[in-house]
Amino acid sequence: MNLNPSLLNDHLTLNLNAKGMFAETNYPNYAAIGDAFRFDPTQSIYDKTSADANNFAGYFQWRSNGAFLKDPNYPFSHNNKAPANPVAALDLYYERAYSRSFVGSADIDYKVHGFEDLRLHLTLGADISEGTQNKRVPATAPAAFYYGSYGAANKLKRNLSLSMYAQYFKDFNEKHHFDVMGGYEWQHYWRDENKDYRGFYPITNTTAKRGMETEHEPFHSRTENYLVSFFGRANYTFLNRYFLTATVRDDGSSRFKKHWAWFPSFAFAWKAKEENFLKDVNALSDLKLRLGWGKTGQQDEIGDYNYFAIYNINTGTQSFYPILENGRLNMPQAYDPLLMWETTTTFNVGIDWGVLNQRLSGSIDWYYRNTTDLINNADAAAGTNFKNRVDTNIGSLRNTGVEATLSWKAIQSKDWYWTIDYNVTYNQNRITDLVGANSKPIETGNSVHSGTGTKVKAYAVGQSASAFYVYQQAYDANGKAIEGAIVDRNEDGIINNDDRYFYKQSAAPVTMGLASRLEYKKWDFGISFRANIGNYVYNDVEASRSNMNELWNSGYLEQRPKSTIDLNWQTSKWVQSDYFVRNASFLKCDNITLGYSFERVLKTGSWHGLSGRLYATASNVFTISKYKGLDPEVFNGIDYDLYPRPTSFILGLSLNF
Amino acid sequence: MKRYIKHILPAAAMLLSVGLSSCIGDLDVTPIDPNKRTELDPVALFNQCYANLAIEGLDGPGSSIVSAEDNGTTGLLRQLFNSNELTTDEAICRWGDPGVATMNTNEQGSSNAFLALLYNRLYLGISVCNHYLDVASGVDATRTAEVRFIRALQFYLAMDAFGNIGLPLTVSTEKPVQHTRKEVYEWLEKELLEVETLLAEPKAKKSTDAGYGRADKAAAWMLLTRLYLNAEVYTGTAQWAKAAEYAQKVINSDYKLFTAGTANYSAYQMLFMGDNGESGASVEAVLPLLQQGDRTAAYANTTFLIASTYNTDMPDNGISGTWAGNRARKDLVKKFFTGTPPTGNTATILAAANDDRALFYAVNRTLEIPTANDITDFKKGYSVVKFTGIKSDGSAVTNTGFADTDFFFFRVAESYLAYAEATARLNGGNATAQGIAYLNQLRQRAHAAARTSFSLNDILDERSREFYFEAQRRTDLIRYGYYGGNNSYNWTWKGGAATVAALIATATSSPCPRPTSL
Repeated sequence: MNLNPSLLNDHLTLNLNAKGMFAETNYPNYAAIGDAFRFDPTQSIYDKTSADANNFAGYFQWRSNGAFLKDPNYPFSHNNKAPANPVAALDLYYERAYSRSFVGSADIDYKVHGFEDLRLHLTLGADISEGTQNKRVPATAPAAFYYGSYGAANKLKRNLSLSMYAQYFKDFNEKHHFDVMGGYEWQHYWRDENKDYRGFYPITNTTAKRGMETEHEPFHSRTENYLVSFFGRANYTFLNRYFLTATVRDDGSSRFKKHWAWFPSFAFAWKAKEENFLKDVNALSDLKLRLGWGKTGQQDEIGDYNYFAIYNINTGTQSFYPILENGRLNMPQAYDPLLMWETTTTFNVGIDWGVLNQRLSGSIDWYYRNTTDLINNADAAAGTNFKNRVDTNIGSLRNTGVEATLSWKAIQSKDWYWTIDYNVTYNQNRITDLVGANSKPIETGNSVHSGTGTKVKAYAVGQSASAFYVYQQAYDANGKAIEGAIVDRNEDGIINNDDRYFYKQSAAPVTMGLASRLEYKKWDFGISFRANIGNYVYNDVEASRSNMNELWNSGYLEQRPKSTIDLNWQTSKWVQSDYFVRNASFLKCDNITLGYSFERVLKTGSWHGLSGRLYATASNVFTISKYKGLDPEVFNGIDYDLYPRPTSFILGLSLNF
Repeated sequence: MKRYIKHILPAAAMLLSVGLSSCIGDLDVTPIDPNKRTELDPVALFNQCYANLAIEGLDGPGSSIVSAEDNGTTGLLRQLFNSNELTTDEAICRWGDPGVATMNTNEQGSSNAFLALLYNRLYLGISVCNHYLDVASGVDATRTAEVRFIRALQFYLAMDAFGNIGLPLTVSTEKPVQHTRKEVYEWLEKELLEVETLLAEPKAKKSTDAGYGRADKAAAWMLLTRLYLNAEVYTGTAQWAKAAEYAQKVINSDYKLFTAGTANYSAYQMLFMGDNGESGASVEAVLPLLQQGDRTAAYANTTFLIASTYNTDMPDNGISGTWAGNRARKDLVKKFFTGTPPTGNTATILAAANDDRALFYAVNRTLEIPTANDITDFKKGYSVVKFTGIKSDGSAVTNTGFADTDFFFFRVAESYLAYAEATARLNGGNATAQGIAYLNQLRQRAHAAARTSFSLNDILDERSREFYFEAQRRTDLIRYGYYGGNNSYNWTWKGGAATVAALIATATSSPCPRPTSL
């Protein structure tokens, strides 16, 4: 619902918005993706003939000895090392959330009577939502075998914001224009969560707990944070050619002990085309130079109470240590009282240009971005804090590069119209300072799925933040990778971590986009492409399944990609090899659209008839890449259980009455 | 115009300032999370000092106060097992985690992730103890003494594993200064001798008795025994007489060897079963680490010892975990047999060994682990069924996911062995009469034949038979000079070769871990 009244002779305008939503969301069992990939394809999905088939709801599952369950009806339990039946994982799972939200905002704008150059503005916003997520997993599902899991999570969220500013415009004379703005902003984020799950001991259980609930304890947490800012901006335009903007912000966050930090920025633009010496140059239709410098702050992805010396209390039912009284535990929280804002300083220079009366136009920008006091979860020296890792400011990062766009109106005639837009970016990313990494790289990123804690990426000063840190593989005369044959890069006679090196990176240094729009009379045809060049991906799908030694050993059979038979490695000892880091540069066609616009259909007398557009769109149409995995576009560079991106076809009709 | 400026601007300014002053103060928050508290609870903090030895975290198994990739690997006992057993002639592991696989062949380096977890777990425990001593030392003198003991125990384990460690006695952002092993030894000796007089009198307990799990004088004596027994390794000067003296104090105390087996289970077996805290076996436990599946559960304590040693083709172990990881090297099994060890189930092996302690399982197993690839095959090498979640009275576990089996960190049997070894070293390498008597008491408890004499090597073998898989072996091998360096004591896969090979000049301690992950 929206109200837009204008009062006091247009001096006071109000824009009031209220939106209510009720949503029902269905959550599937995401573990089914990994199960589907690992499960033995030669097994039947259903098993209705085994004596204990009912214990598994008629689905085939890998079994193990069930004597520990102490239930004569359960000679077997689910083998929890084996993948679960993916069809059962999806069917025997119910998780649905019902949520209600209210989003409201009020914009109040007031031009001061008699002093109309001054405008006062106030914005209030509220986003309140409440949701209940019910989960029911029966006792036949491997996820909660024998006991089942039933319960709900209740979440309440309240975000409030207030922003007010005053703005003053002045044109002194034709040459000078001036406006200044000052304001204040306040935001509050509050979250509350309550959850409780339990299972049941079946009646057939032989212990004293038969028929009873499993032990459970409700979990309750609550947290909040505040952001308060003061800001001001001044704009000055001279001769409509020279533009100067200065902005300053003083931001405060409740997440840091030292709440406040200053973030200024300045920008200058010169419309060179307006200059006398260029005004009459017809070949050039636009030329503008831009310069900017500014600082912004970041405080995301850390807890809300990082600098407090407080205790964490044990939760649940299984973390008591009964030395005294009931065995409750308090653990001091690891904290960094000096944690502060992460600051990014950006400097950029750009040129906007146009020729041939803007038939061909574009822009080119060079930027340099330095991020200092990077916030990350880093090692703390043993004995100095209450955890080995703590959120702290760990270093600096530099991003520098070039962005260029090009826009070409190839055909502009009565019936035909064709424009092509192209953009390309080159970015170079380097870590310039990192606590604790002065002598040896610090391993990072998600672990790969061979063993525990095996990583293939690392941070080091002078390297990209998304670089791979791997062994150099040696190959035989036919080009096949030899298991365990690693190049001894430092020639010290041992193969260990000192022989790893930085090889490629997962973030693409070059990205490009191309969009074309062709119109002929009432028809329109659009196509858009996207390309990443120089991004590499660690194929963990192949690496995690390459230990052929395990093929029959575990008591169950797992599916493997065909490439592992050709590779024929036996163990997973050498998966940190650059053999698995593959070039994943790609070209994707994101979108193809064909449309036909019409008007005055079914026109009768005074009624203007229907108008609208009929269109067909295909998205995620095709991908061209050398990468042999499912999809070369993997966010963090490690390809494991990626859910395939669908190609979709839409047929649409929009009508105006 | 004037009218408006007179009225509206002041009103707007007032509104702004009122709004501002109330809102800037909002940035000074106090935590509203019910799982956090600002006031000190000395009882809870005291419990936490002990809990760090036995469980991983505060939010149930699967959570941990030590940050790691897999929280279930951060527990103290698990990492002590890995660094003290996998690197020796007793245990070998199937898993491919680089932290574990390199320990199988003594190739663990300074970037070993599991050594880092051991280091972090110990220092986290030390920090909690330091914090208790900073804020709650006035509450109760005996509790303060116990916290000092636990802190000393963790410093000892760190010094034994890593050598020249830092010795922070308070929690501050100043980086701890590195001390030499000798300095740490001297501090430990002084601290333990002081604390010993303040601890409670030694008293054997069952899990239902008050104070079960707390350290008393006997715990201090046992730690002092270990300190003195290994003094030559730590400082260069041996202290055999003192080691024997403190071992004797434990033997003379209220704690005794447990000898009352039942019809179905031997006394030795019952020390490692699910009800070892209730059945009376705890008469031997000088410092038990508590475990109870429904209340005090962890992945890295006895649940790890039980689940990692069992496979799905073995008899029931009482809980749901059968992770098929750790098993015995040929060298351990052969300590129980003079000829070729037989295959077959546990009963067969026990009968052939004539020793209750030969708790192996060898149906569908081979004794040998011939090639490097065979290390990852659980069926190569005998399985060990010493630890189990089953209870001797047949009752059910409290939670099928986690064991109720307590872990006896210090057992009186260790004092018997320490006394025998220390006095033997003062007696030209042969056990004295009293030493022989004590060792025969251990053998008698295990229904093994008594012997008339024991050389130092015999005592080392007896230690292996009594304490295998209890996370002590590496220290013992180093003390005898059999671990690193050019010596003739070899075992399968020592240093990485299938055939027996010498491990060339290795340090007697692991290198201190560097920060390895972000």
